[in-house]
Amino acid sequence: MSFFTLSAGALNGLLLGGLYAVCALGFSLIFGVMGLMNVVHGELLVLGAYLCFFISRALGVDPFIATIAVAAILFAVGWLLQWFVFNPVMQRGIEPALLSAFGLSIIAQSLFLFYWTTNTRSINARYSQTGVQVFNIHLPVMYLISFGLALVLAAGAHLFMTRTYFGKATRAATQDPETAQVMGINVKRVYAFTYALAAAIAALGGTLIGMTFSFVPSSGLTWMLKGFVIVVLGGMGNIAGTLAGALLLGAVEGVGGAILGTGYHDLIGLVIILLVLVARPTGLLGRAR
Amino acid sequence: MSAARTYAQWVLLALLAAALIAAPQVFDRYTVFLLYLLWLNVALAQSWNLLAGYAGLISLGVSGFFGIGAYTAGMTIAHLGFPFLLGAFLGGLLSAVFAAIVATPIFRFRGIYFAIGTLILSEALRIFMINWKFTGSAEGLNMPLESGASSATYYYVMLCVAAGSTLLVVAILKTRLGMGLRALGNNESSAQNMGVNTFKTKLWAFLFAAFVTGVAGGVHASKMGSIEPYSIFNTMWTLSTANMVIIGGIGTILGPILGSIFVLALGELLADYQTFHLAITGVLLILIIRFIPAGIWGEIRASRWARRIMGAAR
Repeated sequence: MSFFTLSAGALNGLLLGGLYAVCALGFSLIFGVMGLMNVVHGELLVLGAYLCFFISRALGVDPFIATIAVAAILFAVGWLLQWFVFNPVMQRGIEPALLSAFGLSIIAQSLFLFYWTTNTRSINARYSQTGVQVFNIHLPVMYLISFGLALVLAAGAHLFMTRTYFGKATRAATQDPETAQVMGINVKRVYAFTYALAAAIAALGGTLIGMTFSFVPSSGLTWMLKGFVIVVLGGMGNIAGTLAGALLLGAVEGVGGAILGTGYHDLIGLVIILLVLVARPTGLLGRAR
Repeated sequence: MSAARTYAQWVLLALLAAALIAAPQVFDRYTVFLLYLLWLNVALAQSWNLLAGYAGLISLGVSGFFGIGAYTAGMTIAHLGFPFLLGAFLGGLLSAVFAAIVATPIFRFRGIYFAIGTLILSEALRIFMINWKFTGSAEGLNMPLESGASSATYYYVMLCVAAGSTLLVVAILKTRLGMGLRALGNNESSAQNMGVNTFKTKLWAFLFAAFVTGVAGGVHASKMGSIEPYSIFNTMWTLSTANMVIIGGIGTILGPILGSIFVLALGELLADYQTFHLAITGVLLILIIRFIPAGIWGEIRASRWARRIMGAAR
């Protein structure tokens, strides 16, 4: 185990953390704004990946162009889910919404399986499997693109939350839904918009997953759990925290994977998070809920 | 409750028991297999219900405990030549030991964190088992053909596990522990203030659930004859267990049984559309949570005619 291998693992992991951030941002947003543990988030990502796969192939366009259409579709799907599935049970505490999301996850996985079979798929572009050499370290181009997109997306989300009316309304609804309602904010609509936005971001996450790795109908769980790990590390609904948590997870996994072997790559984050939660049951930066 | 009614209940119960014992002699192989699956589901559902329905601990880690039981049984049967009953028992035991080890950290989580904590635990186990060469990593392991038993034997064993776990839950609820569990489910802090040792109460329920789930996993591993981590540690075990309890009626004794029957029967009706079956149970789950949160049995129990028939019994 040389210093070179470790630093290569760390650097690659850090860049991969950008991809994690894009995938976790929506999850974090939903968790932060409405306290909903969106266990179906992984399936939203996988749906995004499938739609991008088929649309980009059918139209013969670059996957990132197709993502615009996919994001629009997922925005609508997200709005409908929040409006018809989650909003009606939000008043009754956390469990009904959590278990409804669980139900959605079953539905999504079996529909994926039915329409798109168990075949492993990945989204291909000319550049998706290429890489560059920096200090003799091989860096996949997709990692660099993901990292850049994560920074842009996080900055955009931050500006949106602080500068626009809708962002301010969302933050008001987060702090105190009842008072926000009294102040004339339509909290149900804020929730629907938040979920829709999160789903649209998941479209981009799905594209990145599909181009960088591969996916099958049951891939969602791994990505949802990564989202959870990141939210615990970085604090929920906190955009900068989500980005930091994602980069940290990526780097730690990169180093751990270099030491233990790639088979254990996904296990490392889970073990770390269990240890973190033992020390701080509501997350590193989390507040008591 | 009148003496006549009690008497009638005992007769009905005896008839039911006789029917269940006679079933493998009467029905064909496939029906016996379906009933075996029913008992497997009932065992998982009852133990999950004790945690979620009474103590308010929503565990999303069923597949992890099920998998520990299955692999313990599989390893001891395949490598040490243990009889499958002993293997399954050890499976339950090891699953409970694992539960005892993780109990201290995992009980620090409240509500949603407990749910995700258990989910992470089972997913971590799955990834670990895919990589662990000792248990055959991703390929899993095969048990020798002669270690298996007849399908009737598996039916009876699983019937015992299901009936045993149901009766134990009934018994537990009548004890001080059961009262503590219900108090916990209502409000953890006030339960603590009233003198309930919340950690100990949760621990016993958790150990019980882990043991039953592990035994069920062990028996099922032997029944299958070969196991691999992808299907044994599949989250679907967790999903379907939660599904059956909620559809049947969470926090009741008959609910998990009705839910298991309902979901299995639905699966048979939709046998030609295997994948749609799961999607439809998902839709049902969401509809039940939204419109009848008490579940099928909870709804029946609350209705007026049920109260008249059953008196104030439950």
